[in-house]
Order: sequence, then structure tokens, then C-alpha cells
Amino acid sequence: MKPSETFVTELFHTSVQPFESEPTWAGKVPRWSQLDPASAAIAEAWHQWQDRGDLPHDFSPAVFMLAASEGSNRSDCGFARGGAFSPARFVSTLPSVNLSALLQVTGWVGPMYCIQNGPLSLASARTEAELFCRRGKGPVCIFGYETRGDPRVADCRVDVRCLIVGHLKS
Amino acid sequence: MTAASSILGYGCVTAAGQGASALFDALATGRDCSWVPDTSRWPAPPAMPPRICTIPDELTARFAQATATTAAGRMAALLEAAWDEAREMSLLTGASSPNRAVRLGIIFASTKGCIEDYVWDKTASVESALKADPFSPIVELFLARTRLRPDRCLTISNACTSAHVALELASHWTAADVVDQVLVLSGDLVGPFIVDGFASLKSLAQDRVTPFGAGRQGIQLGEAATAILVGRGASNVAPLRLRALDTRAEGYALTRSNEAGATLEASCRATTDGAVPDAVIAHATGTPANDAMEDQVYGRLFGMPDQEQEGVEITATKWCIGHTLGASGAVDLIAAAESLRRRTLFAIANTSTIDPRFVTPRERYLTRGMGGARPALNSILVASAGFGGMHGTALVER
Repeated sequence: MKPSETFVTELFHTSVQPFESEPTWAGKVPRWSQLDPASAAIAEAWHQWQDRGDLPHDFSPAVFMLAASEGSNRSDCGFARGGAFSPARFVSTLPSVNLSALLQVTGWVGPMYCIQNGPLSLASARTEAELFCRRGKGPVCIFGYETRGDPRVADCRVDVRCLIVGHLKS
Repeated sequence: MTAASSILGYGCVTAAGQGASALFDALATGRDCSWVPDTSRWPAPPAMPPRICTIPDELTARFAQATATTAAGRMAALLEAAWDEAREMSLLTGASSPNRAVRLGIIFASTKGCIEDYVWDKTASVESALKADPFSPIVELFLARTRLRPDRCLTISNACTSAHVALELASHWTAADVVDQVLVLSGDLVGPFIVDGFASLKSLAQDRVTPFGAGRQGIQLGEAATAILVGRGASNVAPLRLRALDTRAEGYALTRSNEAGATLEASCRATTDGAVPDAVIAHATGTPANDAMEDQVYGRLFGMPDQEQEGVEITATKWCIGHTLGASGAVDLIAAAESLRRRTLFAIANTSTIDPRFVTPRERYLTRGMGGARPALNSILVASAGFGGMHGTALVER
């Protein structure tokens, strides 16, 4: 298999939270305001990319991957240090849950891999995605994210990065 | 869906003891391994002491010697013990043990890893807590202890379907010929973090767990470390095959599946591909919502008054060794493998009366006293579900 058989498209979005107004996708996610910042940022990024035409409205990857380099550390820490244990916080203490809001917004159902290899998570996910594509199981949509700040305390910024890895048909 | 790879060896350490035989014996004899620990020294004791299924301290001490003062060290030692068992079996079944001639992949599947090592440390800065890695220390210690040098190594954290997802990825690796064999490790420990978490969700049972039972209250948490070696390798005796695997996520709700179980049903159909398994090891956590959802699925799949479907029997493991979270799929797969080797099914020994609202014919459920020899047992479907809308199924055959 040759490495040149795949292509990669990159998209970026920075989500600033709390949101100034209710996001347009909010109606599809019960208790959206309790979402972990990364979950909300991923759903918002998808919506923004579609609005800007970066992502076709009918785009549906064969596989989603979440490159969870920061895992659910923010929620873990918030749950353990937050005084009374919050069930809303606890449900976000799994990194794979960070894609759930997007799946609720899009209605997409399919294979999803949450890869957590520390700082190498995105690179590892890309390697896996290329392998999927070379076996004809693409396109693969990889999400990575980096969170700064806590929206419950002050403004929070989440940088969302999306790699769409596809297969070049000869 | 991915297809067919051989199960070359497996091993585990659970609350039932060391080894797949200990697990199976506890299941077959109806032993509930739960107990109520003293939580008074926990960083944050829960309001009600929980029933949990922990790996006995003396067992951990035997494997870990003096090194397991941390959760990472303890888990790595338990994984090594599971791997030793799997490696021994792989030699017995004729598969070559991973060495330099075999391209080996390792996938570690877990939900919370060694989180108890750092999450309660309030003297640590928020910044350092946010950089914590609950998995890499375990993998690094495991590799140091075993001296394995994998050609490909990854950690998967897909909630309670982590092991199914890891096994699916393993089949993908071998099918793509990037490795010959994959060692799928999985493990989760029970500590204050997950106990307090599930207590906050009011999901913990106060009494014994009774999956599919009329009065079921919720789950009991359990500890496990497992090792399953899959891939290519000659097999001399009673080969077991992972015929098909399927995992899929849905966006229904964070903590529960679509009540009708459409996604789990689709996963079951993809994995079985029209075949009817002889038995099902259900996810069966014992929560009202999960078990009702699974009942809907099995009712549609296996509820017909048809000779073939009438033979399908549904059982579960979590009443015995607890819900082992990221390891639970692997524990169930090992229980399935042992059942197939011995051609014996275990019952859900804590449950005597099935929820009368269920749609699946109640005789399909193996309640107390219904386990035993099944000379024609050839295939078992292992089902799993997890937070964030994850679902997984695997069909194991002999």
C-alpha cells in the first residue's frame, strides 16, 4: 500500500464559550447548556463549517475518530474538585462522550474510535484513518481539540481541528 | 463490521480470582463476588457504601510484589498476569508466541485507567491535572514488565464498549496485514472516582444485582484485567474464532441508548448476518433502562416462536463479577470462550423472576438454576453498550 493513496483536508474552528446566544443546533441536544466545552465546540464547529460551505451539508464520513489528547481531564478534575458530585459533570468524564453532541445534531450512526495516546493522539488517529482509507473504508473524519479556560469561571476557548482523510480513486 | 480472526489465547484476573477458569467457575456455580468495602478512608466517601467486586488484595500482591503502590502499577501487574495466561494458552493452541518473527500490535482498552493516582490530589495545580494521562503509565509499565516490543501500539477509550472497539480495530490491523497478531489488553479498577460518579447518577444497586429481574435496582462496579491474543497462528486444539465484530455510535443521549435499541439491534444483525447464535451474553448491567432496551432488541431478534430462535438462550456476567467498564466486553468474550470450550452455559444466578413487562419470552433468559451442559453449543453473541451512545457486538464460534 502506498502512502500517496490518501488525501487529507484540514478544517479549524475556535469556539468561544459561553455562547453569546443559543446555538442553532441547541434544539437537537437536550440540556445542551450542560455540555462539556469540547462537546459543544465540536458540534458548533461542524455547524460553522457547513454554514461557510467548507463542509457539504450531505457530508457523511464512513468513520469518526476522536483524537482525545486531553482526554476528559477537564471534566475529571471538575468532578473531583467541584464539591458536591455533579451527575452532569460525571457523564462528561469519558472522552468518547465528546462526540455525542455532534452525533445527536447530525443523526449519524456508525463506527467511532476514541484514540487517546497523549500528545500523539492526532498523529495516531491519522495513521489509523489512512489505513482505513487504503482498505476502502473512508472517508474518515478525525476531530482533535484543545481547551483553554473554563466557561463556568470565565471565557473559554476551544480550538477544534478536523482532518478528513479520504482515498484517492485511481 | 469486521470479520474473522482466530482467538489464539486469553487470560484474565477478576474479582472471581486469577484466570479464565476462576471466572467461569464463579459464573457456573452462581457465586456473587460483590462485597461492601470500608470507604471511610476514601478521599470522598459515598453517602451509601457500595457493593463492589474488587480483585482480592492478596492476588494483586502476589503479582505486583512491592511495585504496585499506584493504580498504574497495580493495573500493569494484573495485565501481566492476564498476559501470562494468554501466552501460555497461545503456545498450547499452537500459535507461535509473539517474538521477533511475529509482528505484534498492542491495544489497551480502558475507561479511566489510573485516574485514582492523581485526580484527588488537590495540592496539584489545575494545569498539571489537565495534562494527566491515565493510560500511558500503565502501558509503559506493562511493556517494561513483559519486555514486549510491539510494532504498533494504541489506547482506545470508548466507554464500556472499549474492548469491543479495540478487538474490532485489532481485526482491522490483521486484515490490513500491518501486524500478524494483536494483544488486546483491557482493564479498569474500582475507586472513589467511579463509585462517586455512578452514585451521583443513582445507578448503583444497594442489594445484589439482578439483571433482567423484576426488581432490579442498578449496577455493581467490578475490577478486571484481561488479555486476548487474536490474529494469525496455527491452532492445534479446539480453535475459537471471532467470526464477526461490529461497533457503532449513535447520538441519542449521553447515558442511555435509544429505548427501542435500534442501534444495538442493527449491530447484532450485522454481526450475525442472518445466523442465529446458540446463546447471547448480554450487556445486562442491571439498570432498569439498559435491561429493558436489550429485552426489546432480543425480543425482536430471537422472540419468534420458531424452532431455531427458541433455542437461543440469554445470559450475563455482571451479577457475578460486577460491571468492569472498559474491560467488560473482554470479560464477556472470555466467558463466552470458556463456555464454548466446555460446552456449558452459566445462568444469571441472582435473578429468579424476569421483569413481567419484558417482550422476549422469559424462557429465553437463563435464570437461577437453568445453567448447565449444552452439547450443541457452538456460537455465542456478546453484546455491549456504553455512555455516549456506543454499542458493540461480537460473535464467537468454536
